[in-house]
Amino acid sequence: MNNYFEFNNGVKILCGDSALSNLNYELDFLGAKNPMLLSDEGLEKVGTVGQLAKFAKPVKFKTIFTKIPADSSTLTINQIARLYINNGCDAIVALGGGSVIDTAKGARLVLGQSCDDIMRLSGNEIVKKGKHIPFIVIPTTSGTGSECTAVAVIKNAKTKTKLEFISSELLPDCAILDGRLTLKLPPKLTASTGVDALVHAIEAYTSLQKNAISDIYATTAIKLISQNLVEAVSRGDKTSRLNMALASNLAGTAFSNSMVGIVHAIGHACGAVLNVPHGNAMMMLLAPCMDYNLDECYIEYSKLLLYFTNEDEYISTKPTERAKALIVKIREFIAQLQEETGVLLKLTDYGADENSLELIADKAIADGAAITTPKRFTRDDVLEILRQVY
Amino acid sequence: MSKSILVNFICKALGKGIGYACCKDLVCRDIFLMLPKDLNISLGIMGDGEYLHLRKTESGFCFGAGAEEDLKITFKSRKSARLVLLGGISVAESFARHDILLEGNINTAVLLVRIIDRVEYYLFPRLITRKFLPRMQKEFASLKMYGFVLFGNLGKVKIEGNKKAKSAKSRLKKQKSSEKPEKTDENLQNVV
Repeated sequence: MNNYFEFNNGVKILCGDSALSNLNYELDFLGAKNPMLLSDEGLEKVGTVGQLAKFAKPVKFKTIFTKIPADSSTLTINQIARLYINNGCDAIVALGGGSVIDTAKGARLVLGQSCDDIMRLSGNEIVKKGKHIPFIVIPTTSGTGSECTAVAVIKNAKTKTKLEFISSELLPDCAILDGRLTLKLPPKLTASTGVDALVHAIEAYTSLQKNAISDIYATTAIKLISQNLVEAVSRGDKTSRLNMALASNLAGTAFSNSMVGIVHAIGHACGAVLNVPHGNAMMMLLAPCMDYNLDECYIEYSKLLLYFTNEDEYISTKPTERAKALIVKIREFIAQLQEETGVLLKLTDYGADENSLELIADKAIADGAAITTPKRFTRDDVLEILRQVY
Repeated sequence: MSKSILVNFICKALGKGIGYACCKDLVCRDIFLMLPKDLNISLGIMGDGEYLHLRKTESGFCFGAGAEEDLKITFKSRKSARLVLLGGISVAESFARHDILLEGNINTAVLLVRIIDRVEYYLFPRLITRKFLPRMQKEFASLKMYGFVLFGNLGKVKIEGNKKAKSAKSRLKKQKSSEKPEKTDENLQNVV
């Protein structure tokens, strides 16, 4: 364990049935009278935006903006900031998945820092306390945990490159986890986003920045995911959905404080080069990357077997075999999810060739997650892992 | 606050080491070629100001500030800077302790960290690096690096050719940590 660590989680969490009915109170508490709602067209089409209006009555949004694309950039953020000012809004409510939430974080950052170019704020912990813009996040997927992370990834519209922002100023005031909003999530997406949350928790538990508090969040998340994800995929009932939303939040808090590692480094690169959906990349890479990390994370993996399975299984497995047993269990878990949903888990399914593997390796070694990963990896290590899922 | 003479000396040594490694070490050269064109880097300590300015040119790194830094690395305190610069912990560990503020593209910073790791591997004895760096394969003797750091001129060392060294990729493979972690089956019995 590190002899020094920092932990920051200033987000108020409302979790459970009818949590949305308290949105009105939270906005009032934050002094907001003219909130702006940010979402995307997909959620508007399937009726989730309408559902929010129904569940959160009597909240009235001064402005509703749903033109956030899947790969949002500085252009969208500037557009939102202008709208916010011109329409006299005084709070931001983000309803959606990772892209909507990251865009909302960006817009809030621009407004709070009174800054005309968000790219100047790119980096790690350089943003100073700015003007307070009330900010509430309502996630509609259970995976990114973005509602409680101090991280945002935003595309520079000019250079088309994605930049990472790390700052406590990105944390919202409040996150609302209401299982009703994830009921419409299709099984494939439920599975892949759920595994994303699992990877957040496992990597948070093994990263260089891990600490006593993030460990508690990570292990609780792992337990919840192992008990609820298959159920949420196959039956999709309210309880398992809500448990997954909570697990995603806990895993997000864990990795926001201890960061992620090699699975994310390679996964981000697969997304950039082949457009592999992030959750699918996590499903594909988790087990091979755990194999790679095994010698360095032997003790941590051994301990995680208890949380991923149960006491009986843990006790009946020899201490020296627990780490490997965890990887076997993870493989079985992912295989089961794949069987249920048919998620594509080979790189060739996404059009990969030898050349694209080289490009992925180049990007992976420069990824931010490569800094805090427990076992340093080289370009060739990445290629070896990629060949296992080729 | 006046600048620390020790930190100033070490930063200059690190700057020279980075420049030398990017020219003479194939792994560092490959990474150097991945860095953005005309990259300007500064390294400093909060309250003290900047100790090191490096600029990427076609022939390697040189000292000197550009119009604006693309990557500004700032340690939160002298103590945190000394911890890294004197080989107490790695740059990655320092980042994990929230000791480093970073302005600019994090991906570029990660590549720079990979170069610094190798420079530290040449500069510090294995007794020191053992606790925070995996075993790597040196491409030249550390004495050469010491000689350059003490007496060399960064402006005079140049990268020969700008093609990616294919051989470096295969060397990277060999540099994988061959050190077995201290987490063995025996002490696992005590921990788990």
